[in-house]
Amino acid sequence: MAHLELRGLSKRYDGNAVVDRIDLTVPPGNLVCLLGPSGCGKTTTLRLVAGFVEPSDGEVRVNDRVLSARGFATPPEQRRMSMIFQSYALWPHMTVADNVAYGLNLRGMPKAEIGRRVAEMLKAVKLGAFAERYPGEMSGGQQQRAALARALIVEPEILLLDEPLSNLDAALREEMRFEIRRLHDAYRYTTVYVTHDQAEAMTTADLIVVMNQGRIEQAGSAEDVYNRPRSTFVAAFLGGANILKGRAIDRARLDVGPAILRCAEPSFTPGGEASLSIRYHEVKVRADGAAGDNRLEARVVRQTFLGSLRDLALELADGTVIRASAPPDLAVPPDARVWVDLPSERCRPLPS
Amino acid sequence: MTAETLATGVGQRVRHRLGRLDLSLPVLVATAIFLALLIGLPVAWLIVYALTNRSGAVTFSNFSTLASDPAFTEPLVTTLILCFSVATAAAVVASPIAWLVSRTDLPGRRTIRALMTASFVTPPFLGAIAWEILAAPNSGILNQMWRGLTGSPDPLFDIYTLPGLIFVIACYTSPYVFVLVANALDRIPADLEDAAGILGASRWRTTITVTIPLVVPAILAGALIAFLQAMTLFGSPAILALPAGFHTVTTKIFSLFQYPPKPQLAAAAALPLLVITVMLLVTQARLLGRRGYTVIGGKAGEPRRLALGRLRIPALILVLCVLSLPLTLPYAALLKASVSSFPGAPLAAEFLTWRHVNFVFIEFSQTRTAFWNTLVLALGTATLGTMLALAISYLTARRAIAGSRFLEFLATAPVAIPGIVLGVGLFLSYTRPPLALYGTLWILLLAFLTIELPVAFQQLRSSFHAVHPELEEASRILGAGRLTTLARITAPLLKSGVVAAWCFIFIGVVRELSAAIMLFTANTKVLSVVIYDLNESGDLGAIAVLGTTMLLITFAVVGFANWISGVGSGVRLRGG
Repeated sequence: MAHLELRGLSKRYDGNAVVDRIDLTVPPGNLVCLLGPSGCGKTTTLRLVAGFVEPSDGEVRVNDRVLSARGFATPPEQRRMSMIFQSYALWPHMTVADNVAYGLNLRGMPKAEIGRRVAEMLKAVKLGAFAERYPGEMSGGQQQRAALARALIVEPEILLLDEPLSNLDAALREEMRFEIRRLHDAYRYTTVYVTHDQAEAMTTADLIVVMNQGRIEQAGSAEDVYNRPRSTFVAAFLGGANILKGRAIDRARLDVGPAILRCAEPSFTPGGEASLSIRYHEVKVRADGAAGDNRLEARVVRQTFLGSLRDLALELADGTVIRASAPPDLAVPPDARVWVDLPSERCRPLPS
Repeated sequence: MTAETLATGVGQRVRHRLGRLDLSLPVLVATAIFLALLIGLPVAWLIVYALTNRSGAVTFSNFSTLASDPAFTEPLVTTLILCFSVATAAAVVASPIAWLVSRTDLPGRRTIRALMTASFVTPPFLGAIAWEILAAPNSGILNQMWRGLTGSPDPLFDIYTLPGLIFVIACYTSPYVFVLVANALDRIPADLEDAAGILGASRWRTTITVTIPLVVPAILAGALIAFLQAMTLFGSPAILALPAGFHTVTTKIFSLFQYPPKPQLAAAAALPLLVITVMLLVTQARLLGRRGYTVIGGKAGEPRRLALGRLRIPALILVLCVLSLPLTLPYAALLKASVSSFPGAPLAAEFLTWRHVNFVFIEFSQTRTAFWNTLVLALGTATLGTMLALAISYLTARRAIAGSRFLEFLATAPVAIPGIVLGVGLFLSYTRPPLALYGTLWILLLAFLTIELPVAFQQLRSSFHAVHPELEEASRILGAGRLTTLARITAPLLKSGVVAAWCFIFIGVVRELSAAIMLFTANTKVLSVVIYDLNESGDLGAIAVLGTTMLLITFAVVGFANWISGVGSGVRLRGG
């Protein structure tokens, strides 16, 4: 098991930083997810780790060996890593068994031993019956499993996954999320996983690293980044949040226009511009009530029944529209007046 | 960072630099220099000769001589008329056939497509000779039949005229238009047409408003190739225009090399061809480069075919009639001529003879040398050219090094150099030390390599683009080096592209005449040159025998190459 460390890692193309001074430590056996929208630099970061790209600055270290630094990169084949690609990259001219055996053949293992290990690995990924198939003869999910088997069988020091599930349909994607976590629990390779899907990251990762514009916005456990977002971007990207801007009255209270909101965790600079976030499902909506702390009146602009909840768009007195996920049995017609509670322990100050 | 870790870091850096001896840069540089010499040297000498007089002083007099003498300006006008007519004729005839084959339920469309493509293999000069046999004013088979049927004293069709020349060249350039348009039609995704259908457009209306506009770039590209071919072909005009007493630019350049040779004037006459070709190709790149117009994206899928209904049979007859012009009639004529005592002889036992076969294979001393030279050159050029094209396409498709764009340009540039111009340039470059290659097969090898490189390069480049880079990266990350990956992953996936490139070069070399005619000597005659010579002496029977043998050998070699590459790979090459 390997200890992976990125120090000030940067990649610039024609002066544009795609990856911008990233520092990250992945302890042995951990699964780290790089999560972010497309173009945030997560895939480039992964390819820097793999050695397909040379850094413009900074280092990639594994167990304190420098594998990449400015202007040089140990070739991928000498890194004892393996990778799962977005396209799966199964070689169409080889059977599944040949694909999986490829890495072991390179290591000069005896034929009998290779055969035994390949059979064992194919069984572990539930492809025992498909050894002699060609990739073109299998479904997307089976190809995905074959790609996993090919990457795991070489017992890599570090496993890299590049959007591995994005070509699968929704049901299969959910199944494979758990499958990847199950295999990780079984083998415990140090793993870096790139995705833009929040649920994928939350299911699989020990540590979620939210990236935006080449930089790390926040790193932490799933609970951490979800419940305690430290930037507007993280709050909005993970699960949807209302961002309310205003002027701080004191360290705990923010004047957002139609109301003064109190945050349980005081951290504002009095008199300064600031904002706070509250998730859709944390906004409490009731049909009647009276003015009070962190409570204000709103008009229903739109309401949508989504089965397990009701998605509401609510207009505040100053015209700001916020969204709320209310219980499904709360039936309020459009244009109705309602009261919304923004509980102070859910109002999280965001650093400006 | 402590001093110790810094030291380890630097140590590893040095070791990795040495351990990863990257050969791609030296290979890139070497290939670039070789290509630059291969292409640059002939062009440079052309320019030098065009701008000097006999004593070597700089002058523009060569150009003013050409511009003021009707013996030079008339061929230019003839050539322009020829090019525009051929391009128009090829596009007008081949595009509808491509549409019938690709988009309708025309019976036998697969066979028709194969036959159209196969007519590529016919060397244009052989086609011209076959049409001599068919439509020479007096001895032509068709004209004799016409006279027999109508009793008219006049021929139906005289092939030794400008319209005759236009007709024959159009016959052998229309396959280019056909292949480009048919492929473009195949690639139009069905949903683009469905989108018009769902809005209420009928099938015919959809065809006219959506399908055809989408292939206009392909039709233009095909017409451009036809134009360039008509401009740069040497064999067909030499065979059909010279007896009729008129010249095209290529035959004029050739005649300037006949005794007494005037290389300065020839070089000056060759340059306009080069300039026009470059201009046309640049215009084409501009036209086709407009985004969203040529790139036909969307979901693929079996294109829907238009039911022809009662028109099926008439359409088929029409297509077969058109196909008979480059294929059925000429080949029938060649076969007949090879066993008849004279081409126009009636089909009767008393006129059947093995005389031509006997002459070609037993009596005629040049046959063996010519077959041997052609085979050696075709195999050598195909193998060397494929390797060169493979290296260039690997470097340009996979290694983003500065300089790979330049390499790409060099590998494509020969497209703009007409064969006869290249012939002149190579003659000027290699009749002097240090590389006095004139008179050896090497100079022909260089000529053929230059001429065929662009086709092979384009074929292999598109093969490389079809192999997703992640397939190679997957091998690297599992522990295979660059070379192992190339051998075990890339090469097997490229196999069909490599074989195709090899076959293209082989066929191209066998049918090449325009450069060979400038460069051959007594010992380095190739088949095309021998056939051209025999035509000068009017020995059509022997030509027919040689021509059919040459085609049979071509088919045999190409078939063998495809068989070899297909052995042991029943694999469906589908991206992962």
